Amino acid sequence: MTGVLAKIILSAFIAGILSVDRNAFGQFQLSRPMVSALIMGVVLGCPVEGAVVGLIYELLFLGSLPAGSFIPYHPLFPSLISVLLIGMYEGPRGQMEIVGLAVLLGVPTAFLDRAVNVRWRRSNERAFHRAMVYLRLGRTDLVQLQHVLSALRAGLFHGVSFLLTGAILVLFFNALLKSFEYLPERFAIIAMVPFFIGLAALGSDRTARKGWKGFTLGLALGAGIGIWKAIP
Amino acid sequence: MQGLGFFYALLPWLRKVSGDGFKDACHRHLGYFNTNPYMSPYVLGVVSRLEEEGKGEESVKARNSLMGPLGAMGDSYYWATLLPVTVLLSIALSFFWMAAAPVVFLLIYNTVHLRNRWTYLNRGYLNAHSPLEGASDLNGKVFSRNMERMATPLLGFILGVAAFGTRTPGISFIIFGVAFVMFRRQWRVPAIFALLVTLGTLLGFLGTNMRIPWSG
Repeated sequence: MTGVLAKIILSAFIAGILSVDRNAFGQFQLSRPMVSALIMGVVLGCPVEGAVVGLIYELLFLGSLPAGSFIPYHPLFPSLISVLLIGMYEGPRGQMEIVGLAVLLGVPTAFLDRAVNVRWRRSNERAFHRAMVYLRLGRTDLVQLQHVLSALRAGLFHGVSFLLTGAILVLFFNALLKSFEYLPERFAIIAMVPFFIGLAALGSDRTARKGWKGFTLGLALGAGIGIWKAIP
Repeated sequence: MQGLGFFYALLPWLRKVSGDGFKDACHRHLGYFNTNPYMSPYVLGVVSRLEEEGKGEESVKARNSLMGPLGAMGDSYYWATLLPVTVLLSIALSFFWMAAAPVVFLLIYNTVHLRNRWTYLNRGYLNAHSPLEGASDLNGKVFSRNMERMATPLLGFILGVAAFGTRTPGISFIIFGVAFVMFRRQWRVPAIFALLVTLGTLLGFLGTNMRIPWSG
């Protein structure tokens, strides 16, 4: 039990740090699922599953873009939660069969991620007003401090939310697997669904803009390599 | 939105160049600011030069007039072109060498935006007297166009490898095809997701040999 709790706390810490990169400092894209899920996978001892989860979420959320002041659904929470669930699972089956179920449970947490982000932005507005007051008092050092605190708050908000969500979902996931023994095998196919939905979303957008020629050429080349890879 | 961050970045420069007018300069620049975060160094460059020359009010006008155009330019370049293309390139690479995909993604994306940020700062400083003219073609039209051209073939390539690399290419194409038609018909993502998850679950129950693409 202590091990499980330690892993969840560690995951929440990682989620907090990555959300700082995404929201407040640098935007080096460490929070993209391709990177964040792999980091979480390495920490929890399931790097291959982490990488696979990252690719699935990457495609599924690639069309969700922060244009203008719109706050999009971001795959940081879902990808990290999915890897956490996979990392926590210690059952007899192959880990890959868990991926589908973990993705299915992880996707709805995108709503939570967005809600936390909106909450953090509102708290930033208050920090901004505080900074204005400090400036009127001539305290530029406190104005600077407000900026630093705002970055740290991004990590705190996301970390704490992740901690609570992770703890609840891990309990739910374990209870689900105990109740339905063969569930993961039935859900293996689900892991493919988000991947192909993501491809379809992008395909629909890009082929409308750039036509089918490049897409068909790429498909033919990919199909050739795919068949070659599939031959034992 | 980003007003506090903009002020934080500008403060050391204001301390250096404003002299007695430091307090007024601070009041001028702690205000509303919102643009694409990667494009903000250009505005910083423009404002720094104008503040250095003592043209405080002009710097505020330049900042306010640049936010919108740079936001639109940055969103279409970074979020709609550079990010999807580098992600697709990395996913395509992951079929052959999975561990390299995140590294390649971070390397390409960060090299481009860090280089651009430095360039924007310099160009902003140099074009401070005609900032809007200086901002045109900041990201290079040819480079953007070529990047965008790469996206569609890469998508096709990923679909080909992912679908034909499995034991069930038919099911992969069914999922892709159904989702594709729904997107064209303006269905919402949650509806598509719910329907296809149900379809996938049914197929999972019906088939016994279905495995995800990378399980070998």
